[in-house]
Amino acid sequence: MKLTIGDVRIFEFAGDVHRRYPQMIWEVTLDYDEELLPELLRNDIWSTEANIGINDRRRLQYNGKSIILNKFKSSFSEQIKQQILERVWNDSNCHSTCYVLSFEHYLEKSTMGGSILKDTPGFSMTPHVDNHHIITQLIINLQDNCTSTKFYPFNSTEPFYVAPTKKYQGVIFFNTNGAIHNIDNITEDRYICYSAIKIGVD
Amino acid sequence: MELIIGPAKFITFESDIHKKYYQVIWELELQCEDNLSDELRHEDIWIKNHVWVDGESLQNELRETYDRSNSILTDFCNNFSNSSQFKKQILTRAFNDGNYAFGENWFRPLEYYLKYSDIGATIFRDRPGFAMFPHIDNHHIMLQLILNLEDNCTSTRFYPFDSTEPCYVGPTKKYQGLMFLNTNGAIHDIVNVTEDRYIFYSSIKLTVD
Repeated sequence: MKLTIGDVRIFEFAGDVHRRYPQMIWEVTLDYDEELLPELLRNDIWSTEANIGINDRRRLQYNGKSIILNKFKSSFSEQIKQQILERVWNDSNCHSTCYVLSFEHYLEKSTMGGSILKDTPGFSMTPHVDNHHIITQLIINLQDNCTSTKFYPFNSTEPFYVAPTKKYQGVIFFNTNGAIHNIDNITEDRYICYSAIKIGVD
Repeated sequence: MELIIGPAKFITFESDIHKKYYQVIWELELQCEDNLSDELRHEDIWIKNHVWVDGESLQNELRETYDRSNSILTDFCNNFSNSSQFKKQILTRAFNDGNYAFGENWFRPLEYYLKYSDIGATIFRDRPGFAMFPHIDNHHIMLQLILNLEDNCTSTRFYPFDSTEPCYVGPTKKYQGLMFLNTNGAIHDIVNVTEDRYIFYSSIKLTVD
């Protein structure tokens, strides 16, 4: 597995008089040889239990029963975490006041969880900012999906950026105070890999 | 010594179309018979301080921190920092009153945060000219508490996410103060320090070690 992280996109908005609500997004591409779709289409690998704080049975979480998907998940190693954190730290530079300790501290103390998710038609999440445990999120499409995460200015309901929908493309975004995002318009099953780098004792 | 926590003030803004940039503030009153004024006036108990600005610790010689060399002031601080009861009191109030505001930022059960948070307590002397520009605290901080130890000339001001006009100004009277939840909308500053300002400062932070 190889994760390629594109250039940082820094979005700042008119009306942000205190300059506290920038957003930082990186487009990513995943190189992965094995075909996952036949496994993703299995019906016996999805749990309907509430996951990552979302009590909506239209979001299904992978239950660990596929050898091929387990291998894929295990590829999200400490090395990937370090790659992501390094890029986020280097590119965000003085833009973030959210995480003020050293890079080494977060590298050592943070955790990176990963999930494979299947969003079924009708699932949606309203515009929100993630909780303060999350430093950064990674979302990668595992097939060509019908929709993707949309990002909003802090003061507008018009998205300024929509993440890629193509297979093995996706985004990393930094959990700034301004990182408002949502997901809607899911008309077909959507398969994604979701990973968050978090602080706090698990 | 007893800390009286007033009702939560939820400050919301009509222009907040995503409803994510609210503020939650509690006014405080400390019932305390100690008079710290003489102790605070000692010149040999203050050390120059660093202030976090845009993620960097910058020397700011106009904010001085109490050096813990005075037994009366240290005892005062220890009433807060050494008391699990105090942490429990304010975290429980924030959790119960904060409701969705607490959960959006700190989504785990109260018991988790009681266990995995750290409380710090100190005394600051802000000299004339000290200022901090409008900012939001880092994501480790859950709650902050500021109490005036004298009648002070100025106090923390809070701002709407899209305006430079303050929406709330903290009390300036002795043994009054405030605590506030570190939400995405909690923009605050301190300006207009024209005389020495003495405050007790405490914060509850997420444990990250």
